[in-house]
Amino acid sequence: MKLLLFAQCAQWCGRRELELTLERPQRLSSVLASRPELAPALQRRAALRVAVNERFASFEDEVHDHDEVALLPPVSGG
Amino acid sequence: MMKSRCCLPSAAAELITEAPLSLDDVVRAVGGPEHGAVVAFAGCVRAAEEGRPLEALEYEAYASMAARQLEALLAEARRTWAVRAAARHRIGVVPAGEAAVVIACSAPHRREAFEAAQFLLERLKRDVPIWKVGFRWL
Repeated sequence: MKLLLFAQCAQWCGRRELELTLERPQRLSSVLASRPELAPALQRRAALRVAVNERFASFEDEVHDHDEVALLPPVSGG
Repeated sequence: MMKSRCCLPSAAAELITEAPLSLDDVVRAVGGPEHGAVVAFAGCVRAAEEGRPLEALEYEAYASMAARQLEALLAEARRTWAVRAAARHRIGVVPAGEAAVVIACSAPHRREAFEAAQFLLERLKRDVPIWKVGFRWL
């Protein structure tokens, strides 16, 4: 599973990308909680949105090894 | 910066781009003989922020998803108001005075063109994964 971090999320965690291996489908929140380097982003979880395969999703959705997941801070385009 | 290629007519090909934006491009993209009303919007980087002179803003995007989201918004605007619509957002460093986003909508009459353009801007600002990530001060 590829995890992409953008904007403040990338700054908080000190990285833009993380590659994870999922032996079986899991709830996204569990996957993220298992990685200590993501803790700075998860502390601010209430303000974040997630995307799975370029569609908005929920932290409670099930994700698979082949998915692309992104952590998205509040957007500020336009 | 990632660029995204979209399978759309060339006028809307690069929805998310590092290149300078042109209102003329999006206006031309929505032109048509029956469309008497053309509404164009440019969101430009202001020359000052909180009283401090600004040289530029830097934008970051989840480019592939941003292009997909913007395509979907354009499709929704076209369906809902029966307009022609085009939009582009710039990423990377955008100097003060230059456009970060351009939108154009055309319709036989003005009400639909205005409403669709406003819809596109408001929804872009809510749902398209683009961020202001840096301020360059003068």
